[in-house]
Amino acid sequence: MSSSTDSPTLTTETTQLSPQPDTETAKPTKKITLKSSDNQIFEVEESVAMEFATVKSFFEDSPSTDTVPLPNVTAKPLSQVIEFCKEQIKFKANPDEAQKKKYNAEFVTEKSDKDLVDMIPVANYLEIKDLLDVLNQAVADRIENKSVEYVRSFFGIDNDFTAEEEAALRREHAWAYEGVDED
Amino acid sequence: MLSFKRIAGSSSSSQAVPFSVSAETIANNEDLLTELILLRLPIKSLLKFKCVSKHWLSLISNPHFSRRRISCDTSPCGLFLIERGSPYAGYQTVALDSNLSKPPFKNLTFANDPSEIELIQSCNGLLLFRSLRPGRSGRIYYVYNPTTEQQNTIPRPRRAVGAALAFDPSKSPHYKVICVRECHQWLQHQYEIWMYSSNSGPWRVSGDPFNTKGSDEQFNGGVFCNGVIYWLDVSGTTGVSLCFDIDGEKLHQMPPPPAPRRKGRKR
Repeated sequence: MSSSTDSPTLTTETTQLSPQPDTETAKPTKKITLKSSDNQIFEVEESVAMEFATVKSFFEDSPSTDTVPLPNVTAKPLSQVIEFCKEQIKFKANPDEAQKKKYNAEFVTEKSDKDLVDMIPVANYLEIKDLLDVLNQAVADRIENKSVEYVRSFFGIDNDFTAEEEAALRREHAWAYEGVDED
Repeated sequence: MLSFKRIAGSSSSSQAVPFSVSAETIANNEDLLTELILLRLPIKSLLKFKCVSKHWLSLISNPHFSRRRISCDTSPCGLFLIERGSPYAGYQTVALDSNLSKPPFKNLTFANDPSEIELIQSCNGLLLFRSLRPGRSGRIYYVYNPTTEQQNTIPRPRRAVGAALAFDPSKSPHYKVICVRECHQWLQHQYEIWMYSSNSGPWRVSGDPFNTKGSDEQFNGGVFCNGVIYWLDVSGTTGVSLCFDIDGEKLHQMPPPPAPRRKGRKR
């Protein structure tokens, strides 16, 4: 948001139909409480929570609830997912494809490998398709030109081939193993 | 293991065992991994990552996965140019995409064919070759996948004057080879179309014998596009081009292309 909308003499905001995420001086919007598996509490705007299809359908089933337990989600990836969705709401209100692309690219660039892979199941579980697309592309971009060993450690996969089996596979597509980036 | 697809929050699940999401969890979750990350990798990376683990090998080799991958992206990353004049045709590559590092092959020889081979058609990632000189029972035809280096020798079609490959991976993982054979009926020189399917096997005849004003040469260098094989009149004299609809097994004659206008002459 630009600094002008943060000015203390903000009164016009209340006439807007959709609640703005950072208009705390304006009419209070409904907050929804999310509880992570490690018992951290997150208070988010209703509009942000409704970006999570899983939370949305939870509310449709039991509208009187005020806290949504998310037993599959730990606090750290959840906070990052919320951060992403808050921005997406702004782009929904003011569509700007170029800015959105830029934000999405920066969002994944600054994350560690672990942060990215930890967010994927969360985005999947909460059914946030845009984020899932962004994350999967980011992971694919990071491993695309890497070595097999790098990918194993990236995902914590044990090599269960014998040395002979692996050598045979490498011979089969020898050309595919050339031009690998350094780990 | 918990399923990611399960919807949260039947009230009892708030007491569920905390579930730590991790890289290992993703690697073990087949659906997520295939659908979401592997589908976004280029083919070269997929071939390389077959040796990450047995699980990855089975995911990447799964025909269902191949079909889904094909529908994601089919933009070509390079072109092969044939160098004529060498004993075995060499191939130069032209990269259309900055990621193309090294081509899968520079020249091709098939171990079980001592004679030279020539490329007659390229079709959506598969190549159709034939032996350069006909043997006692005709030429041998090969279908080759340069990416996986898999090769299939097609059962030898007798009296074949030409062959064409029909392969559309977005519709089917199987390919067909269409061969035009000469036949003699009522003392007339005629042609017949025979089809071979990588799925259902042996050669079978399709439709009735036909005549054409064109020469045998016409039936080499067919082009496959949208389920139809086109044989253009290469001699440019008869003006008869043919096309064959693979699914409907119908042969049609195409109208000749407009003749080029010559300057300074009135017709």
